[in-house]
Amino acid sequence: MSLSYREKTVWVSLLVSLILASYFGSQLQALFSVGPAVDATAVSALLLKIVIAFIVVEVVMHALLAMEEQEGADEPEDEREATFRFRANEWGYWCLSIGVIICIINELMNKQLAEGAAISDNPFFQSFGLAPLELKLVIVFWLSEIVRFSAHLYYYRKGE
Amino acid sequence: MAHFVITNKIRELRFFADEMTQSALAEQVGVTRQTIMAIEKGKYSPSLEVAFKIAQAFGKPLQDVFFYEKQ
Repeated sequence: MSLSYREKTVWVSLLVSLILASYFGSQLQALFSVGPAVDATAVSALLLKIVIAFIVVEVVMHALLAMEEQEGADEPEDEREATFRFRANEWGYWCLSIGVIICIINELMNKQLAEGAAISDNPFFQSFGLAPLELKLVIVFWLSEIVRFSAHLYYYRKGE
Repeated sequence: MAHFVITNKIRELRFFADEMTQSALAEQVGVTRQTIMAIEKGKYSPSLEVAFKIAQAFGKPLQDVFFYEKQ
C-alpha cells in the first residue's frame, strides 16, 4: 500500500479525532445526561480542554510524522490531492451544515415547549435535545470532521 | 452511446526513457509519485497542464502519450 505524505497526515488527523472522541466521550456523555441543568462552567472547561488537547495532539503527531517521513513533506499539494480535498470538504461541510440546522431547529423547539419538556419520552432524545447548544455543536463539528477525514481517505484509496 | 476513455502509454515511454522511475517523472512534472501512478493506471485523468508536462518530459507531442478512445 503506497501512501503519500499528505494521505498519512489525513490518517493522523482521523486517528487523533477518534482517539480524542473516545477519551472525552464519557465526559461529554456525563454532561449530556445532566440535561438543561448542566453547569455552564463545566461545559466551558470541557470544551477548552478538548480544543487544547486537539491542538497539542495534532501538532505533536504531525511533527512526528514529518520527522519520520521526508518524501513529499515539503512539496505543495498537487491537483489530484486538491481535488480529493475539495470533494472531502464538501462531504464534511454538508454534515456540518445539516447538523447546525438540526441544532438550531432543536433550540427553537425547546423555546416553544414548556421549560424542561422534551419532544420525546426517549431518554436519549431528552438528554440530547435539552442539552446546551454548545455541547451539541461540539458533537456536530466532531462528526463532520470525522466524515471529512473519512471521505478524504476514501478518495485517496479509490485513487480517482 | 459509445463510452470513451482516456488512456496513455506512460509506462511504455518510461521504459524507453532508460526505465525512468515514477518518482523521477513526478519530480519533473511537479506532482506526487502516487498521482503519476494513478494516471498511469488510468484511474485519474490529469489536467491539460499536467498532461502537457508529462508529454514534454518524454519529448513527445501530447497525442503520442494520451489517447481518447472507445472503451
